[in-house]
Amino acid sequence: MADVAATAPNRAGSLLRAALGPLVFALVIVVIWKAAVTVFAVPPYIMPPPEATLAAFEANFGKIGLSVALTLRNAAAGLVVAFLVAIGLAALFVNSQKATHAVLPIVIGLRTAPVLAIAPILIMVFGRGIGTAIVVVVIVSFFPIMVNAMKGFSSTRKNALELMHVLGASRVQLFLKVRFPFALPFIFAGLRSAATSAILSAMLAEWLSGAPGLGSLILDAASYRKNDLLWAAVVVSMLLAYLIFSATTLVEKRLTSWRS
Amino acid sequence: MTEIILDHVSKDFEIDRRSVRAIDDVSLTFPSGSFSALIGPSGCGKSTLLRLVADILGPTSGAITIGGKPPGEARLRHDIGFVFQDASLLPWRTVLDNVSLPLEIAGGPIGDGPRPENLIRLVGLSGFENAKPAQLSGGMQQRVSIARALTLRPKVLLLDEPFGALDEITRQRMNLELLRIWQETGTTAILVTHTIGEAVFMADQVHVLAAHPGRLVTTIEVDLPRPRHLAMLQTAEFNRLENAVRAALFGDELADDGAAARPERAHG
Repeated sequence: MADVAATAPNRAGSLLRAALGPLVFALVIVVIWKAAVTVFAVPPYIMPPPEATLAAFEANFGKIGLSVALTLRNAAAGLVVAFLVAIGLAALFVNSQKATHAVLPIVIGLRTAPVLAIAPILIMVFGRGIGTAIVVVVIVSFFPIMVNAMKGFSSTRKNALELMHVLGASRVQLFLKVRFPFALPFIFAGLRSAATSAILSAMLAEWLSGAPGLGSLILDAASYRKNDLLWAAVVVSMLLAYLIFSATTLVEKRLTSWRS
Repeated sequence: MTEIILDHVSKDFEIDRRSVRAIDDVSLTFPSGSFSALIGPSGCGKSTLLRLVADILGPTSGAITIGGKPPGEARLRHDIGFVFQDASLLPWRTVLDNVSLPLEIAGGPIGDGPRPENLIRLVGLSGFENAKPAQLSGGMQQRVSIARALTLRPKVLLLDEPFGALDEITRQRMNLELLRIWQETGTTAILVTHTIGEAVFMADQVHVLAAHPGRLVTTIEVDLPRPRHLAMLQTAEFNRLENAVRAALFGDELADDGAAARPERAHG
């Protein structure tokens, strides 16, 4: 019990230390940004200085906040569906050679189909709202999760499989108690790359369908020549991707702490 | 009664599309409640034999019965406890949760089966219930896996070189504890080992196997009294039995050794 109290301030300290690097790096980028705009006399309709971008962010805080919420919702919903689809397919493929031969080519075909080309069909089928957004996110981000999960599911140690067999475990018990936990480090490797591309593909879906969100905000700002708002939205979308990446890493550390 | 009988058992493996005979026509009887050892060089199929009894593998020909029933039936009745060469604990589970795993699979204790807490005490790990496997030494991890194998009160305990990775001193201690646990639980135990002294010290019968293909050479009856003590290791009787196993393992090579050594000395 005593060491819990001792580690609490320690954890806050290490969190601060972990945040220090990115903060310093962000500051360096802002300084370079400001210097570049000043030295090369870049006109504000190409690249506004950082303070104008910050001012646009403050002036449009409500608008940007709402857009972030919408895009985040779409990305998260899409990621959840992508996760379930990926884990389901990976479990199927690891369990059945026949299913792999039948389904995997179609899955790869779907993966390689350019979203831009099939967008009109998607919008017709799933509408202009969250439906299309989820489908686009799933198409773009389920593949890395699936590939890593397959690798994870087939890397279960032989002794663990034999143990579960001797115990008379069912396939479901084997999957939930052994295969899935053993695969978690692999699954998270896929999930991390999928999570960042989920934000990007949620914005892509907005570009294609015109649904409101961070992507549409960027497009609107560009067409109305509100360049400082455009840049504010771009910076926010980058921060969002970074935060999602960090959140995934944090969850991964908690769930796979047994590895260390 | 859980007598284990192997009746003309053979096992072939497919390697590079060629059939390779791993076990050739082995017939053995393991009396109910006895402790038997399987010993032999690598490639003699002793681990395969254990997996056939555990219904992890199926024989190519011949029949195996456990208490008169096929191994698959015994397995699904949770009559078999298996201890692997490495402890094979689930690293994200605590000691207590690892020992409780068979209960989760079986959906509860079998009859008046032992409580996981009591088993942890039986293998001498009280106080470590909430430790993770990575926090334990190799010997402690193997104790956990023994406790896990006993959770469903199996009638058969199969041990695949359980202490092979441990140092000599720890291994002797673990062997003594294993014998104590075996006597308390009254299971039919089969131990796979590649150590002659271990086989003689632990078992009532030592079955000696030869490799390529795996086959039974002979069975040596160990009539040392029980309970066994470390002091027995130094008796003449123990030595005689060790030599008998050694003779069965090496056969003619023992006689040839003298002849082979002489020219070597001439060279030196």
